[in-house]
Amino acid sequence: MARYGLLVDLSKCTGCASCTVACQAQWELDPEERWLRVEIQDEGTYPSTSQRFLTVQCQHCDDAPCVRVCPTGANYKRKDGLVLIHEGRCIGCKYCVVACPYQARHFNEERGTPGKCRLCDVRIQKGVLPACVLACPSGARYFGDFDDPNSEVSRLLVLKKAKQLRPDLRTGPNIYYVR
Amino acid sequence: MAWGLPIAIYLFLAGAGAGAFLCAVGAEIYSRHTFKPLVHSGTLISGPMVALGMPFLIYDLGMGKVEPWRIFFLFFGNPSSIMSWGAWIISAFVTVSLTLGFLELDFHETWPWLEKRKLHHPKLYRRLSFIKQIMTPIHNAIEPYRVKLLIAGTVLALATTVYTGLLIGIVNSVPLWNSAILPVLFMDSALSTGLAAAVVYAVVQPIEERRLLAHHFFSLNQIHSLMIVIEVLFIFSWLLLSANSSNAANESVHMLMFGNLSLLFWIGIAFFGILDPILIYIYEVLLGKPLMAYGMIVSDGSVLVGGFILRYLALSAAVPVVLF
Repeated sequence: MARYGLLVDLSKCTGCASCTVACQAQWELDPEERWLRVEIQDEGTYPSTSQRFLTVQCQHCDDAPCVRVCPTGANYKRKDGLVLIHEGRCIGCKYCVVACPYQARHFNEERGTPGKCRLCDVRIQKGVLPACVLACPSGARYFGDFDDPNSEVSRLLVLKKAKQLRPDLRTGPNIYYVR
Repeated sequence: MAWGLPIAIYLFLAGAGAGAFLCAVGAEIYSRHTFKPLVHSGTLISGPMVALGMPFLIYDLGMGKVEPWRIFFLFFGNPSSIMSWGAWIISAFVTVSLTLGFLELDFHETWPWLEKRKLHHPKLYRRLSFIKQIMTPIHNAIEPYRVKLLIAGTVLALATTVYTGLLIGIVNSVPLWNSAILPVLFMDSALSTGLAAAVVYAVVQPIEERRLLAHHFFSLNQIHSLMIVIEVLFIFSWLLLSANSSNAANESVHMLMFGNLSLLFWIGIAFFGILDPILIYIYEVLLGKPLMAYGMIVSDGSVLVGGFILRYLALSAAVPVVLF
């Protein structure tokens, strides 16, 4: 079975937030509703300073806290690795918003349910790359199947020694980062 | 964080209601005769208090105003979710404690205050007597199961008090909450606020015999002071351990004690929740008599304020884990 995920090469990331905007355009989100955000960290002391960037979105965890805590079973893990929300079952209790260690969920007050990265399920179904991957100008984002040892992401994962975000929380994320 | 005031009110009311029930049970085991007013008021208010939290919970639900019937998914959607456990526990507890509260109304006995109004309010007397006539057989039918209901209620009340802490305690995205002390702290706070709520309700009763509770202030003050001392120890250990665990938890503690929540923390929890009631209790014990006729409302009302602010601050001080 497939295990879709992303590999993000942060050494190529310029922090331009094209991925954020592409995601908002794809899913017609409000400007303040971000399913994918860029965190910035300043490093060093003046005058030798630099910035590091980290793009954070739903990590499509293998043992996702949102799926575990959801009282109605509206959050579920699909067989191909995607964590999705069954909107018709959600009561909007916000337990998943609170429980997500990556703060990847945005609660939409108007709709009454949370929204988050869906790894562009409608696009990958048609064989098109996710919007954020296609939009990245420096080509820092790779989409693929981690279960297939010959896929680009699987090879890069080994080659570039990519790491998960906070693996100590035992969530088993499927987004890997190259630092 | 996503949870704010409505959830804090809900957690507070659920805790205080279950705590009032436990205090009533404790008083009944100790001496039903001496603490009759406490047993009465604790059992009577526990069900309505927990039930009163439900509108706040539903108000906070995103779908509460649009499609409220989806709440039924709560019960069977995902049995491993703590929130589903809470739904089972609280609905069972409200049922049991409302039934016991119904028994506490003594429909099978004559109400002396009603008899007194027989002459001046004949209409009221007739209506209430009619209701009493209908309720008496129901009362007599439930009465034999009282002890069984009390045992079930005690287990469910304990589960409710722990549940309010477990709900946010299992969330490992917020290091401040993910602490073993939290469920026990919330349980102790629930007992303390429950006792306070029961005492306040008993004291403001217009019925003379219910107000006799003020005569037992000595033993109540001792028990309540002990609860507050334990609470102080728990809060102290919780904050000290959190401050030394992770960066996010440290930031939470800093926010509470010196940051933008510090005013509420020092005035709400330290003064109203701890200092004010414990000083009054100790002073009353030393003095050998109640501070004033309604002195218990001051000290116990202050415990209620402190208990509510504790829940609110625990939710507001949440800082998620650092990702970098």
